[in-house]
Amino acid sequence: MAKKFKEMSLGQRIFRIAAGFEIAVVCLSLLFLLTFFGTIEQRWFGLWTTIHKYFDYNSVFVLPTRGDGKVIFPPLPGAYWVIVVLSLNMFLGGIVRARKGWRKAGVLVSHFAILFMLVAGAVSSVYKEEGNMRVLQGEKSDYAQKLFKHDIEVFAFDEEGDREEPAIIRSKSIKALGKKGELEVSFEKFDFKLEIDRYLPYSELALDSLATQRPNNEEVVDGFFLVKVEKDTKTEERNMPGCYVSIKDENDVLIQRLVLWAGNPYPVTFNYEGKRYGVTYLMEIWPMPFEVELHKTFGENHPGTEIPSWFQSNIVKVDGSNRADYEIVMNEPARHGGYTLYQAGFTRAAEGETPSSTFAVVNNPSDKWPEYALWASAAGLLFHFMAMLVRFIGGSSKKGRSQAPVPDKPSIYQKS
Amino acid sequence: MQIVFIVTAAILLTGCRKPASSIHVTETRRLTLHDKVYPGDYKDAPPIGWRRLPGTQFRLINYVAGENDSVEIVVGETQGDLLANANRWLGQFGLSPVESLEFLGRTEMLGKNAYLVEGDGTYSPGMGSPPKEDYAMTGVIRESSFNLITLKMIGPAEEVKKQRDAFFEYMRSFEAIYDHKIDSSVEEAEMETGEERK
Repeated sequence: MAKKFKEMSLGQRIFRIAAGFEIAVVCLSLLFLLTFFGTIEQRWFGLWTTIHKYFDYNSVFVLPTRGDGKVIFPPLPGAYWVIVVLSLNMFLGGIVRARKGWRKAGVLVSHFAILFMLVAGAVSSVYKEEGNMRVLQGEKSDYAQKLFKHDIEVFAFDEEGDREEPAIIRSKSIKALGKKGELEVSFEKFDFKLEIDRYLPYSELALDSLATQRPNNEEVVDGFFLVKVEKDTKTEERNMPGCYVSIKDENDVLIQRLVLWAGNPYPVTFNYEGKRYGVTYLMEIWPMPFEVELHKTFGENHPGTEIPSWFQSNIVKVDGSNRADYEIVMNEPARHGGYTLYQAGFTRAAEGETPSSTFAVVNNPSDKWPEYALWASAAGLLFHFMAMLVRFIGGSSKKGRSQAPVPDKPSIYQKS
Repeated sequence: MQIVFIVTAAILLTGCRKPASSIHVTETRRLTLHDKVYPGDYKDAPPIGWRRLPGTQFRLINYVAGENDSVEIVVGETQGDLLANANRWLGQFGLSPVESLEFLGRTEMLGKNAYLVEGDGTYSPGMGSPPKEDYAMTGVIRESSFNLITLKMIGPAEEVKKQRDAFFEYMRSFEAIYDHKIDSSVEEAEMETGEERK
């Protein structure tokens, strides 16, 4: 007979709580609230920002707010950590605590499959990388760019005027600055250092002139200055950060003051000890282990609209000496070695211009895990219900025979 | 209850981290085709003393040079008639317009014939900017398929004079880049530019 809660040891009580339905109900309720408020909030702050606010593993607590910044609900735990607790609860309650045996095998498999799907989500959240690769027809590319991460790259030019491998200041170091913070960066590769200040997450680069106003008396460098702008919540990849940097030597003597803006497609340069260096602020470059040649891109719009109904890219994937043809269509991606290329968009060219395709590139170690989990769950449930059906049919037959009445009196039709 | 409070406080405080004030960068990445992207698919080779600034709508490539970065060197695109643009440049120095292209110097830029426009004097850039005395200009204009390509150097006359040789060496340095093109489309590009891949 099951023990009462009060009679349990501390360990048993902890296990009972952790594996209990109560935790599952609380977690599912929290997930409902988080999804509800996230759905409302993304309308003001954009999808990407809201997803990261509610579902990122760095978000321990979430404060639901509306567009004007007013808090609309008390703090909630971050969805990632709620799912961690729910997964633990499912493991303890749905597998460890559950009754074992052949009769429960199908249910156990299904529970394990769902748990595996939650683990897939956790792995994806931590390890998934995604970016966009834009290629013009007739050209090739061997890199993607991550739309919402902006790095500062510093590199030297060689004697041929070509770029050498850049040193990278990652987005997270810059973002942590805030508007008034300063960050001093030293390099393994270079003798000089770089100081970042006046970081703006949403900015434009303006040309200084007599007609230009500088509302906040912004610093002008090389005839340019950074202006703070409102965040674009509808097209978040259009938000361009900017900052000012000072290049200094090891004695803190200023070599060059620069203004960097992520919307500038080419680097700015400075000279130090007879060598030329470039500095660029850009969407994070993600090198690919292969090249994509875009041979043809084409598609059709819905009649009377500019909305594409379908589009296709004929590409050749080049990996060393291996060449493979692919036709990438909407919802039919190309896969290679853990990388998946989806057709994310295409641009019809105006006369004299070149059409292009944009591919969404995803590298997710758990990409196929949810699919495997669904198959396993389906198999487990099928096994369980088939077993129940067999037991039911078998049980009915036995009941039919054993319930035949045994007459204890002679039948009236019997001969006496 | 105390334990709950302590645990909650500990969880909240773990989210409060002061950003680092200094870092040491060791991370690099391998070069990709992104590192071979140039405006108009032409790689340039500026002299070591020139410094590149951000580009603008009308200044595709934007350099400064000379003492106190007083000299501007700009590669741009513009519309309209070549002669009209040349005369507009001359007009900025208060110089009389020329009647035909025959009166302009001849040179070559990006594999095609181009015209040389030079002048000195008081430079009036317009757009409300004050005039600048003792300035000089060396400029080159070339027609392309859709518009005009310009290369222009303006600054104090003495500094422009010092940079003149470097200016023409820079003009000759442009090299068509085909690294990002599929081989079959390189031939088309070579036919258009008249330059073979190196």
